[in-house]
Amino acid sequence: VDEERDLDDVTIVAMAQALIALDLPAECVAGVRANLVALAEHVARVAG
Amino acid sequence: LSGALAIAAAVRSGARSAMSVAEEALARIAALDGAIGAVTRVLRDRALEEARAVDAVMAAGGDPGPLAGVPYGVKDLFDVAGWPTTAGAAMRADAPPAAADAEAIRRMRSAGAVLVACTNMDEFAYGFATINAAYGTTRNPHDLKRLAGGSSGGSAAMVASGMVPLALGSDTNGSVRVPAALCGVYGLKPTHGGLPMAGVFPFVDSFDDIGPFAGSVADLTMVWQVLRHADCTRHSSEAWDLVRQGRASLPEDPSLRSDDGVGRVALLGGWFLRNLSGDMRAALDALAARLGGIDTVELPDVPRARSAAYVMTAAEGGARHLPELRARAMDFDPQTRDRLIAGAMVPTAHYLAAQEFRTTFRAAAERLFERFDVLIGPCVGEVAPRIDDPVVTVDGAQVPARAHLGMLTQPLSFIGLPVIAAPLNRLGLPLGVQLVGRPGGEARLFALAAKLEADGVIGRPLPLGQSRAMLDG
Repeated sequence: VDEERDLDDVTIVAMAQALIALDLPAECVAGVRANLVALAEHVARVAG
Repeated sequence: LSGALAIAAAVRSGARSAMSVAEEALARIAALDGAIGAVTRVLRDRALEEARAVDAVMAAGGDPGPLAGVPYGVKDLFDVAGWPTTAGAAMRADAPPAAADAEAIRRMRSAGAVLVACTNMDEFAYGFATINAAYGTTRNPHDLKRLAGGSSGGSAAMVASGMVPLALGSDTNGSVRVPAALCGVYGLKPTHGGLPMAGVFPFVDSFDDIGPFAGSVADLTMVWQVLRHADCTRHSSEAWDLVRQGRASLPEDPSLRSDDGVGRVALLGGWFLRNLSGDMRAALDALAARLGGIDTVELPDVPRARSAAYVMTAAEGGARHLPELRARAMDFDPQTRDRLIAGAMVPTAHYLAAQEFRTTFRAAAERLFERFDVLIGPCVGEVAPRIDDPVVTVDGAQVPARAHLGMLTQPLSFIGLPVIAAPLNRLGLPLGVQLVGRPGGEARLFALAAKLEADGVIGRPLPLGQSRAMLDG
Protein backbone atom coordinates (compact mmCIF):
# COMPACT_ATOMS: atom_id res chain seq x y z
CA VAL A 1 0.00 0.00 0.00
CA ASP A 2 2.81 2.37 0.90
CA GLU A 3 4.48 1.67 -2.43
CA GLU A 4 1.27 2.51 -4.23
CA ARG A 5 0.94 5.73 -2.25
CA ASP A 6 4.55 6.66 -3.04
CA LEU A 7 3.92 5.92 -6.69
CA ASP A 8 0.85 8.16 -6.59
CA ASP A 9 2.96 10.98 -5.19
CA VAL A 10 5.50 10.55 -7.94
CA THR A 11 2.77 10.46 -10.53
CA ILE A 12 1.13 13.61 -9.24
CA VAL A 13 4.42 15.49 -9.16
CA ALA A 14 5.16 14.32 -12.71
CA MET A 15 1.68 15.33 -13.87
CA ALA A 16 2.10 18.81 -12.41
CA GLN A 17 5.40 19.19 -14.20
CA ALA A 18 4.13 17.81 -17.50
CA LEU A 19 0.75 19.55 -17.58
CA ILE A 20 1.45 22.95 -16.08
CA ALA A 21 5.23 23.19 -15.73
CA LEU A 22 4.93 23.44 -11.97
CA ASP A 23 7.51 21.96 -9.61
CA LEU A 24 5.04 20.71 -7.04
CA PRO A 25 6.30 21.20 -3.48
CA ALA A 26 6.04 18.10 -1.32
CA GLU A 27 3.67 19.91 1.06
CA CYS A 28 1.11 20.25 -1.72
CA VAL A 29 0.94 16.65 -2.91
CA ALA A 30 -1.72 15.36 -0.53
CA GLY A 31 -3.98 18.38 -0.99
CA VAL A 32 -3.62 18.37 -4.76
CA ARG A 33 -4.37 14.65 -4.86
CA ALA A 34 -7.57 15.14 -2.85
CA ASN A 35 -8.67 17.96 -5.11
CA LEU A 36 -7.90 15.97 -8.26
CA VAL A 37 -10.04 13.11 -6.95
CA ALA A 38 -12.91 15.54 -6.33
CA LEU A 39 -12.47 17.11 -9.77
CA ALA A 40 -12.44 13.69 -11.43
CA GLU A 41 -15.85 12.96 -9.91
CA HIS A 42 -17.24 16.22 -11.24
CA VAL A 43 -15.68 15.68 -14.66
CA ALA A 44 -17.29 12.24 -14.82
CA ARG A 45 -20.68 13.70 -13.92
CA VAL A 46 -20.37 16.35 -16.62
CA ALA A 47 -19.56 13.63 -19.13
CA GLY A 48 -22.78 11.92 -18.12
CA LEU B 1 -27.24 52.65 13.45
CA SER B 2 -30.48 51.87 11.69
CA GLY B 3 -31.22 50.96 8.09
CA ALA B 4 -29.58 52.67 5.16
CA LEU B 5 -32.69 54.53 4.08
CA ALA B 6 -33.41 55.79 7.57
CA ILE B 7 -29.86 57.10 7.88
CA ALA B 8 -30.00 58.74 4.46
CA ALA B 9 -33.36 60.32 5.28
CA ALA B 10 -31.96 61.75 8.51
CA VAL B 11 -28.90 63.13 6.78
CA ARG B 12 -30.86 64.51 3.83
CA SER B 13 -33.28 66.26 6.18
CA GLY B 14 -30.49 67.73 8.29
CA ALA B 15 -31.57 65.79 11.38
CA ARG B 16 -28.16 64.09 11.53
CA SER B 17 -24.76 64.91 10.16
CA ALA B 18 -22.93 62.39 8.01
CA MET B 19 -19.93 62.93 10.28
CA SER B 20 -21.83 61.74 13.37
CA VAL B 21 -23.05 58.65 11.48
CA ALA B 22 -19.52 57.81 10.32
CA GLU B 23 -18.11 58.21 13.82
CA GLU B 24 -20.82 55.94 15.18
CA ALA B 25 -20.06 53.28 12.58
CA LEU B 26 -16.34 53.46 13.38
CA ALA B 27 -17.14 53.11 17.08
CA ARG B 28 -19.30 50.07 16.40
CA ILE B 29 -16.51 48.44 14.43
CA ALA B 30 -14.11 49.08 17.30
CA ALA B 31 -16.56 47.62 19.79
CA LEU B 32 -17.78 44.58 17.84
CA ASP B 33 -15.17 43.43 15.37
CA GLY B 34 -12.71 42.00 17.84
CA ALA B 35 -15.08 39.10 18.42
CA ILE B 36 -16.30 38.73 14.84
CA GLY B 37 -13.28 39.32 12.60
CA ALA B 38 -15.21 40.80 9.69
CA VAL B 39 -12.93 43.77 9.02
CA THR B 40 -9.43 43.63 7.56
CA ARG B 41 -8.84 47.37 7.26
CA VAL B 42 -10.59 50.30 8.90
CA LEU B 43 -10.62 53.33 6.58
CA ARG B 44 -11.06 55.94 9.29
CA ASP B 45 -9.50 58.94 7.55
CA ARG B 46 -11.27 58.25 4.29
CA ALA B 47 -14.62 57.73 6.03
CA LEU B 48 -14.40 61.04 7.87
CA GLU B 49 -13.32 62.85 4.69
CA GLU B 50 -16.26 61.41 2.73
CA ALA B 51 -18.69 62.24 5.53
CA ARG B 52 -17.34 65.78 5.70
CA ALA B 53 -17.93 66.14 1.96
CA VAL B 54 -21.57 65.02 2.32
CA ASP B 55 -22.12 67.52 5.12
CA ALA B 56 -20.57 70.25 2.98
CA VAL B 57 -23.00 69.52 0.13
CA MET B 58 -25.89 69.73 2.60
CA ALA B 59 -24.56 72.98 4.03
CA ALA B 60 -24.41 74.42 0.52
CA GLY B 61 -28.03 73.44 -0.15
CA GLY B 62 -27.18 70.67 -2.62
CA ASP B 63 -28.44 67.10 -3.05
CA PRO B 64 -25.95 64.78 -1.31
CA GLY B 65 -27.37 61.69 -3.05
CA PRO B 66 -29.80 58.91 -2.22
CA LEU B 67 -27.39 57.19 0.18
CA ALA B 68 -26.25 60.37 1.91
CA GLY B 69 -24.04 59.55 4.86
CA VAL B 70 -24.72 55.79 4.78
CA PRO B 71 -21.62 53.91 5.99
CA TYR B 72 -20.67 50.68 4.21
CA GLY B 73 -17.89 48.11 3.86
CA VAL B 74 -16.39 46.43 0.80
CA LYS B 75 -14.88 42.99 0.36
CA ASP B 76 -11.14 43.38 0.06
CA LEU B 77 -11.15 42.66 -3.67
CA PHE B 78 -12.56 46.04 -4.66
CA ASP B 79 -9.90 48.59 -5.54
CA VAL B 80 -9.78 51.34 -2.91
CA ALA B 81 -7.62 54.24 -4.05
CA GLY B 82 -4.34 54.40 -2.16
CA TRP B 83 -4.49 50.86 -0.76
CA PRO B 84 -3.36 47.47 -2.02
CA THR B 85 -6.19 45.21 -3.13
CA THR B 86 -5.34 42.04 -1.22
CA ALA B 87 -8.16 39.76 -2.46
CA GLY B 88 -7.66 38.11 0.91
CA ALA B 89 -4.11 37.04 0.08
CA ALA B 90 -1.23 37.77 2.42
CA MET B 91 1.11 37.77 -0.60
CA ARG B 92 -0.72 40.86 -1.92
CA ALA B 93 -0.45 42.89 1.28
CA ASP B 94 2.48 44.79 -0.27
CA ALA B 95 0.99 45.01 -3.78
CA PRO B 96 1.06 48.48 -5.37
CA PRO B 97 -1.79 50.64 -4.06
CA ALA B 98 -4.81 51.02 -6.31
CA ALA B 99 -4.64 54.18 -8.40
CA ALA B 100 -8.41 54.68 -8.32
CA ASP B 101 -11.54 53.33 -6.69
CA ALA B 102 -13.44 50.46 -8.26
CA GLU B 103 -16.35 51.71 -10.37
CA ALA B 104 -18.88 50.38 -7.84
CA ILE B 105 -17.22 52.40 -5.07
CA ARG B 106 -17.20 55.48 -7.28
CA ARG B 107 -20.95 55.09 -7.77
CA MET B 108 -21.55 54.60 -4.04
CA ARG B 109 -19.51 57.69 -3.28
CA SER B 110 -21.38 59.79 -5.82
CA ALA B 111 -24.61 58.64 -4.14
CA GLY B 112 -23.31 59.99 -0.83
CA ALA B 113 -22.36 56.67 0.80
CA VAL B 114 -19.34 56.63 3.12
CA LEU B 115 -16.79 53.81 2.89
CA VAL B 116 -15.59 52.78 6.35
CA ALA B 117 -13.84 49.41 5.99
CA CYS B 118 -12.51 46.57 3.86
CA THR B 119 -13.77 43.13 4.78
CA ASN B 120 -12.48 39.58 5.16
CA MET B 121 -12.87 36.84 2.56
CA ASP B 122 -11.57 33.45 1.50
CA GLU B 123 -8.26 33.91 -0.27
CA PHE B 124 -8.87 34.93 -3.89
CA ALA B 125 -12.60 34.31 -3.24
CA TYR B 126 -12.09 30.54 -3.57
CA GLY B 127 -14.29 29.15 -0.81
CA PHE B 128 -17.67 29.35 0.89
CA ALA B 129 -16.40 29.71 4.44
CA THR B 130 -14.26 32.85 5.02
CA ILE B 131 -11.57 30.77 6.64
CA ASN B 132 -8.43 32.71 5.84
CA ALA B 133 -4.95 31.59 6.89
CA ALA B 134 -3.65 35.18 7.03
CA TYR B 135 -6.63 37.25 8.14
CA GLY B 136 -8.45 34.73 10.30
CA THR B 137 -11.89 33.18 10.24
CA THR B 138 -14.89 35.48 10.23
CA ARG B 139 -17.34 34.43 12.93
CA ASN B 140 -21.09 34.39 12.57
CA PRO B 141 -22.68 37.25 14.57
CA HIS B 142 -25.57 34.91 15.47
CA ASP B 143 -23.23 32.36 17.06
CA LEU B 144 -19.55 33.14 17.31
CA LYS B 145 -18.71 29.43 17.25
CA ARG B 146 -20.08 29.15 13.73
CA LEU B 147 -18.95 30.17 10.25
CA ALA B 148 -20.22 33.33 8.60
CA GLY B 149 -20.04 31.66 5.19
CA GLY B 150 -18.10 32.99 2.26
CA SER B 151 -16.35 34.05 0.37
CA SER B 152 -17.84 37.48 1.18
CA GLY B 153 -18.25 36.56 4.84
CA GLY B 154 -16.77 39.74 6.27
CA SER B 155 -19.26 41.91 4.37
CA ALA B 156 -22.24 39.80 5.46
CA ALA B 157 -21.08 39.74 9.08
CA MET B 158 -20.64 43.52 9.15
CA VAL B 159 -24.27 44.01 8.14
CA ALA B 160 -25.61 41.20 10.34
CA SER B 161 -23.86 42.58 13.43
CA GLY B 162 -25.08 46.13 12.80
CA MET B 163 -21.63 47.66 12.21
CA VAL B 164 -22.93 49.05 8.91
CA PRO B 165 -26.29 48.84 7.12
CA LEU B 166 -24.78 48.03 3.71
CA ALA B 167 -21.79 46.19 2.32
CA LEU B 168 -20.52 45.04 -1.06
CA GLY B 169 -19.24 41.59 -1.93
CA SER B 170 -18.77 39.41 -4.97
CA ASP B 171 -20.52 36.22 -6.04
CA THR B 172 -18.99 33.71 -8.43
CA ASN B 173 -20.69 30.52 -7.26
CA GLY B 174 -22.61 31.78 -4.23
CA SER B 175 -20.20 34.05 -2.38
CA VAL B 176 -22.85 36.66 -1.66
CA ARG B 177 -25.79 34.28 -1.25
CA VAL B 178 -24.17 31.74 1.09
CA PRO B 179 -22.95 34.25 3.73
CA ALA B 180 -26.20 36.22 3.40
CA ALA B 181 -28.15 33.06 4.27
CA LEU B 182 -25.90 32.00 7.13
CA CYS B 183 -25.74 35.51 8.63
CA GLY B 184 -29.44 36.34 8.17
CA VAL B 185 -29.20 39.32 5.82
CA TYR B 186 -30.30 40.07 2.27
CA GLY B 187 -27.91 39.66 -0.64
CA LEU B 188 -28.17 40.19 -4.38
CA LYS B 189 -26.38 38.32 -7.13
CA PRO B 190 -27.35 40.27 -10.24
CA THR B 191 -27.79 38.99 -13.76
CA HIS B 192 -24.27 38.13 -14.89
CA GLY B 193 -22.61 41.33 -16.06
CA GLY B 194 -25.36 43.52 -14.64
CA LEU B 195 -23.19 45.51 -12.25
CA PRO B 196 -19.79 47.11 -12.90
CA MET B 197 -16.74 44.88 -12.45
CA ALA B 198 -14.08 47.51 -13.22
CA GLY B 199 -11.56 47.61 -10.40
CA VAL B 200 -12.65 44.28 -8.91
CA PHE B 201 -9.98 41.58 -8.50
CA PRO B 202 -11.17 38.73 -10.76
CA PHE B 203 -11.62 35.06 -9.91
CA VAL B 204 -13.61 33.34 -12.70
CA ASP B 205 -14.66 35.64 -15.52
CA SER B 206 -17.41 33.28 -16.64
CA PHE B 207 -19.33 33.73 -13.40
CA ASP B 208 -17.95 36.71 -11.45
CA ASP B 209 -20.40 39.38 -10.33
CA ILE B 210 -20.48 41.93 -7.56
CA GLY B 211 -23.46 42.23 -5.26
CA PRO B 212 -24.69 44.13 -2.20
CA PHE B 213 -25.75 43.03 1.30
CA ALA B 214 -28.46 44.86 3.21
CA GLY B 215 -30.81 44.49 6.16
CA SER B 216 -34.09 45.09 4.31
CA VAL B 217 -35.58 44.80 0.84
CA ALA B 218 -35.89 48.58 0.59
CA ASP B 219 -32.21 49.07 1.44
CA LEU B 220 -31.20 46.38 -1.05
CA THR B 221 -33.35 48.01 -3.71
CA MET B 222 -31.76 51.38 -3.18
CA VAL B 223 -28.17 50.16 -3.32
CA TRP B 224 -28.97 48.21 -6.47
CA GLN B 225 -30.44 51.36 -8.02
CA VAL B 226 -27.26 53.21 -7.16
CA LEU B 227 -24.89 50.54 -8.44
CA ARG B 228 -26.63 50.05 -11.78
CA HIS B 229 -26.49 53.68 -12.84
CA ALA B 230 -23.21 55.29 -13.84
CA ASP B 231 -24.52 58.68 -12.77
CA CYS B 232 -26.19 58.16 -9.41
CA THR B 233 -27.01 61.77 -8.74
CA ARG B 234 -29.05 61.99 -11.93
CA HIS B 235 -31.29 59.23 -10.59
CA SER B 236 -31.28 60.30 -6.96
CA SER B 237 -34.79 61.72 -6.85
CA GLU B 238 -36.28 58.91 -8.91
CA ALA B 239 -34.70 56.20 -6.77
CA TRP B 240 -35.65 57.91 -3.55
CA ASP B 241 -39.26 58.41 -4.66
CA LEU B 242 -39.58 54.76 -5.62
CA VAL B 243 -38.39 53.44 -2.31
CA ARG B 244 -40.29 56.02 -0.28
CA GLN B 245 -43.49 54.92 -1.99
CA GLY B 246 -42.72 51.31 -1.08
CA ARG B 247 -42.43 50.42 -4.75
CA ALA B 248 -39.50 48.10 -4.96
CA SER B 249 -40.13 47.32 -8.61
CA LEU B 250 -38.80 49.41 -11.42
CA PRO B 251 -41.06 51.48 -13.62
CA GLU B 252 -39.10 50.88 -16.79
CA ASP B 253 -39.86 47.14 -16.83
CA PRO B 254 -43.07 46.89 -18.92
CA SER B 255 -43.71 43.30 -17.86
CA LEU B 256 -44.63 44.54 -14.39
CA ARG B 257 -47.45 46.77 -15.54
CA SER B 258 -49.85 43.92 -16.26
CA ASP B 259 -49.99 42.36 -12.80
CA ASP B 260 -48.98 42.83 -9.19
CA GLY B 261 -45.32 42.65 -10.12
CA VAL B 262 -44.78 39.33 -8.40
CA GLY B 263 -45.74 37.22 -11.41
CA ARG B 264 -45.88 33.42 -11.57
CA VAL B 265 -43.94 31.74 -8.78
CA ALA B 266 -42.85 28.11 -8.30
CA LEU B 267 -40.76 26.12 -5.85
CA LEU B 268 -37.60 24.44 -7.13
CA GLY B 269 -37.71 20.69 -6.46
CA GLY B 270 -35.34 17.79 -7.08
CA TRP B 271 -31.75 18.66 -6.20
CA PHE B 272 -32.90 21.73 -4.31
CA LEU B 273 -35.00 19.70 -1.86
CA ARG B 274 -32.32 17.10 -1.09
CA ASN B 275 -29.97 17.44 1.86
CA LEU B 276 -32.17 19.92 3.71
CA SER B 277 -32.54 20.15 7.47
CA GLY B 278 -36.02 19.61 8.87
CA ASP B 279 -36.26 23.30 9.69
CA MET B 280 -35.44 24.34 6.14
CA ARG B 281 -37.88 21.87 4.61
CA ALA B 282 -40.64 23.04 6.95
CA ALA B 283 -39.88 26.68 6.16
CA LEU B 284 -40.10 26.06 2.42
CA ASP B 285 -43.42 24.24 2.84
CA ALA B 286 -44.74 27.15 4.90
CA LEU B 287 -43.53 29.67 2.35
CA ALA B 288 -45.18 27.74 -0.50
CA ALA B 289 -48.43 27.58 1.45
CA ARG B 290 -48.26 31.31 2.13
CA LEU B 291 -48.05 31.92 -1.60
CA GLY B 292 -51.21 29.92 -2.16
CA GLY B 293 -49.84 26.46 -2.77
CA ILE B 294 -47.41 27.08 -5.60
CA ASP B 295 -46.21 24.36 -7.98
CA THR B 296 -42.99 22.47 -7.40
CA VAL B 297 -40.97 22.31 -10.60
CA GLU B 298 -37.75 20.60 -11.51
CA LEU B 299 -34.83 22.02 -13.40
CA PRO B 300 -33.26 19.01 -15.16
CA ASP B 301 -29.63 17.96 -14.69
CA VAL B 302 -28.88 20.27 -11.75
CA PRO B 303 -26.16 18.00 -10.25
CA ARG B 304 -24.46 17.99 -13.63
CA ALA B 305 -24.69 21.78 -13.78
CA ARG B 306 -23.16 22.06 -10.34
CA SER B 307 -20.32 19.79 -11.42
CA ALA B 308 -19.78 21.75 -14.61
CA ALA B 309 -19.59 24.98 -12.61
CA TYR B 310 -17.14 23.30 -10.24
CA VAL B 311 -14.88 22.21 -13.11
CA MET B 312 -14.97 25.57 -14.90
CA THR B 313 -14.27 27.41 -11.65
CA ALA B 314 -11.30 25.21 -10.86
CA ALA B 315 -9.90 25.45 -14.38
CA GLU B 316 -10.31 29.20 -14.82
CA GLY B 317 -9.18 30.00 -11.28
CA GLY B 318 -6.17 27.72 -11.61
CA ALA B 319 -5.18 29.17 -14.97
CA ARG B 320 -5.44 32.73 -13.62
CA HIS B 321 -3.12 32.05 -10.71
CA LEU B 322 -0.71 29.65 -12.41
CA PRO B 323 2.12 32.18 -12.90
CA GLU B 324 2.08 33.02 -9.17
CA LEU B 325 1.82 29.35 -8.26
CA ARG B 326 4.94 28.63 -10.31
CA ALA B 327 6.77 31.54 -8.71
CA ARG B 328 5.77 31.19 -5.06
CA ALA B 329 3.27 28.44 -4.34
CA MET B 330 4.17 28.37 -0.66
CA ASP B 331 2.98 31.96 -0.19
CA PHE B 332 -0.64 30.96 -0.89
CA ASP B 333 -3.14 29.91 1.75
CA PRO B 334 -2.59 26.11 1.68
CA GLN B 335 -6.31 25.39 1.24
CA THR B 336 -6.54 27.70 -1.76
CA ARG B 337 -3.20 26.69 -3.25
CA ASP B 338 -3.97 23.01 -3.53
CA ARG B 339 -7.38 23.66 -5.10
CA LEU B 340 -5.89 26.09 -7.61
CA ILE B 341 -3.06 23.74 -8.59
CA ALA B 342 -5.51 20.87 -9.16
CA GLY B 343 -7.72 23.21 -11.17
CA ALA B 344 -4.84 24.32 -13.36
CA MET B 345 -4.27 20.65 -14.21
CA VAL B 346 -7.80 20.17 -15.65
CA PRO B 347 -7.41 19.30 -19.34
CA THR B 348 -8.95 21.76 -21.77
CA ALA B 349 -11.27 19.06 -23.15
CA HIS B 350 -12.98 18.75 -19.76
CA TYR B 351 -13.29 22.52 -19.44
CA LEU B 352 -14.88 22.75 -22.87
CA ALA B 353 -17.27 19.89 -22.08
CA ALA B 354 -18.45 21.77 -19.00
CA GLN B 355 -18.83 24.94 -21.02
CA GLU B 356 -20.79 23.11 -23.71
CA PHE B 357 -23.17 21.67 -21.14
CA ARG B 358 -23.88 25.19 -19.93
CA THR B 359 -25.64 25.95 -23.21
CA THR B 360 -27.92 22.94 -22.75
CA PHE B 361 -28.66 23.77 -19.14
CA ARG B 362 -29.39 27.40 -19.94
CA ALA B 363 -31.89 26.34 -22.60
CA ALA B 364 -33.68 24.14 -20.05
CA ALA B 365 -33.89 27.06 -17.64
CA GLU B 366 -35.22 29.32 -20.37
CA ARG B 367 -38.03 26.83 -21.01
CA LEU B 368 -38.92 26.85 -17.32
CA PHE B 369 -39.00 30.64 -17.28
CA GLU B 370 -41.55 30.57 -20.10
CA ARG B 371 -44.00 29.24 -17.48
CA PHE B 372 -42.74 31.04 -14.37
CA ASP B 373 -41.28 34.42 -13.46
CA VAL B 374 -39.65 33.57 -10.14
CA LEU B 375 -38.37 30.27 -8.77
CA ILE B 376 -37.80 29.78 -5.05
CA GLY B 377 -35.31 27.42 -3.49
CA PRO B 378 -33.13 27.09 -0.42
CA CYS B 379 -29.85 28.98 -0.28
CA VAL B 380 -28.02 26.62 2.05
CA GLY B 381 -29.69 23.46 3.29
CA GLU B 382 -28.85 23.89 6.94
CA VAL B 383 -27.70 26.47 9.49
CA ALA B 384 -24.10 27.70 9.65
CA PRO B 385 -21.56 24.93 10.36
CA ARG B 386 -19.44 25.08 13.47
CA ILE B 387 -15.96 26.55 13.06
CA ASP B 388 -14.38 23.64 14.91
CA ASP B 389 -16.11 21.15 12.60
CA PRO B 390 -16.55 22.95 9.25
CA VAL B 391 -18.49 20.30 7.36
CA VAL B 392 -21.89 19.94 5.71
CA THR B 393 -23.87 16.80 5.04
CA VAL B 394 -24.30 15.72 1.42
CA ASP B 395 -26.13 12.46 0.76
CA GLY B 396 -25.26 11.23 4.23
CA ALA B 397 -21.54 12.04 4.00
CA GLN B 398 -19.73 14.80 5.87
CA VAL B 399 -17.86 16.96 3.34
CA PRO B 400 -15.83 20.20 3.71
CA ALA B 401 -17.98 23.30 4.08
CA ARG B 402 -15.40 25.39 2.24
CA ALA B 403 -16.12 23.57 -1.03
CA HIS B 404 -19.73 22.46 -0.59
CA LEU B 405 -21.74 25.19 1.17
CA GLY B 406 -22.57 26.53 -2.28
CA MET B 407 -24.01 23.36 -3.75
CA LEU B 408 -27.46 24.99 -4.05
CA THR B 409 -26.23 28.36 -5.30
CA GLN B 410 -23.64 27.15 -7.81
CA PRO B 411 -26.03 25.76 -10.47
CA LEU B 412 -27.86 29.09 -10.73
CA SER B 413 -24.90 31.42 -11.15
CA PHE B 414 -23.58 28.85 -13.64
CA ILE B 415 -26.08 30.29 -16.14
CA GLY B 416 -25.95 33.88 -14.92
CA LEU B 417 -29.41 34.10 -13.36
CA PRO B 418 -30.22 36.96 -10.96
CA VAL B 419 -30.92 35.85 -7.40
CA ILE B 420 -31.96 37.59 -4.20
CA ALA B 421 -30.88 35.71 -1.08
CA ALA B 422 -33.47 36.45 1.58
CA PRO B 423 -33.39 35.56 5.27
CA LEU B 424 -36.32 33.58 6.62
CA ASN B 425 -38.10 35.35 9.43
CA ARG B 426 -37.64 32.79 12.17
CA LEU B 427 -36.27 32.22 15.64
CA GLY B 428 -32.94 30.46 15.96
CA LEU B 429 -29.96 30.45 13.64
CA PRO B 430 -30.56 32.02 10.21
CA LEU B 431 -31.72 30.16 7.14
CA GLY B 432 -32.09 31.77 3.74
CA VAL B 433 -33.93 31.23 0.49
CA GLN B 434 -33.07 32.12 -3.08
CA LEU B 435 -35.53 34.05 -5.23
CA VAL B 436 -34.39 33.28 -8.77
CA GLY B 437 -35.31 35.20 -11.90
CA ARG B 438 -34.71 35.08 -15.61
CA PRO B 439 -31.78 37.16 -16.91
CA GLY B 440 -32.68 40.82 -16.47
CA GLY B 441 -35.58 39.86 -14.22
CA GLU B 442 -34.42 41.56 -11.03
CA ALA B 443 -37.56 43.70 -10.80
CA ARG B 444 -39.71 40.61 -10.28
CA LEU B 445 -37.39 39.46 -7.52
CA PHE B 446 -37.57 42.77 -5.69
CA ALA B 447 -41.36 42.80 -6.02
CA LEU B 448 -41.71 39.29 -4.57
CA ALA B 449 -39.17 40.00 -1.83
CA ALA B 450 -41.08 43.14 -0.83
CA LYS B 451 -44.33 41.15 -0.65
CA LEU B 452 -42.79 38.32 1.39
CA GLU B 453 -41.17 40.80 3.75
CA ALA B 454 -44.43 42.69 4.20
CA ASP B 455 -46.15 39.37 4.95
CA GLY B 456 -43.54 38.55 7.59
CA VAL B 457 -42.26 35.46 5.75
CA ILE B 458 -38.77 36.84 5.24
CA GLY B 459 -36.93 39.42 7.29
CA ARG B 460 -33.67 39.99 9.04
CA PRO B 461 -33.35 38.01 12.27
CA LEU B 462 -31.49 39.65 15.12
CA PRO B 463 -28.14 38.29 16.29
CA LEU B 464 -28.46 36.37 19.53
CA GLY B 465 -28.26 38.63 22.55
CA GLN B 466 -29.24 41.72 20.57
CA SER B 467 -32.55 43.48 20.69
CA ARG B 468 -33.93 45.62 17.89
CA ALA B 469 -33.23 48.65 20.06
CA MET B 470 -29.55 47.68 20.33
CA LEU B 471 -29.28 47.16 16.59
CA ASP B 472 -31.00 50.44 15.84
CA GLY B 473 -28.96 52.37 18.38
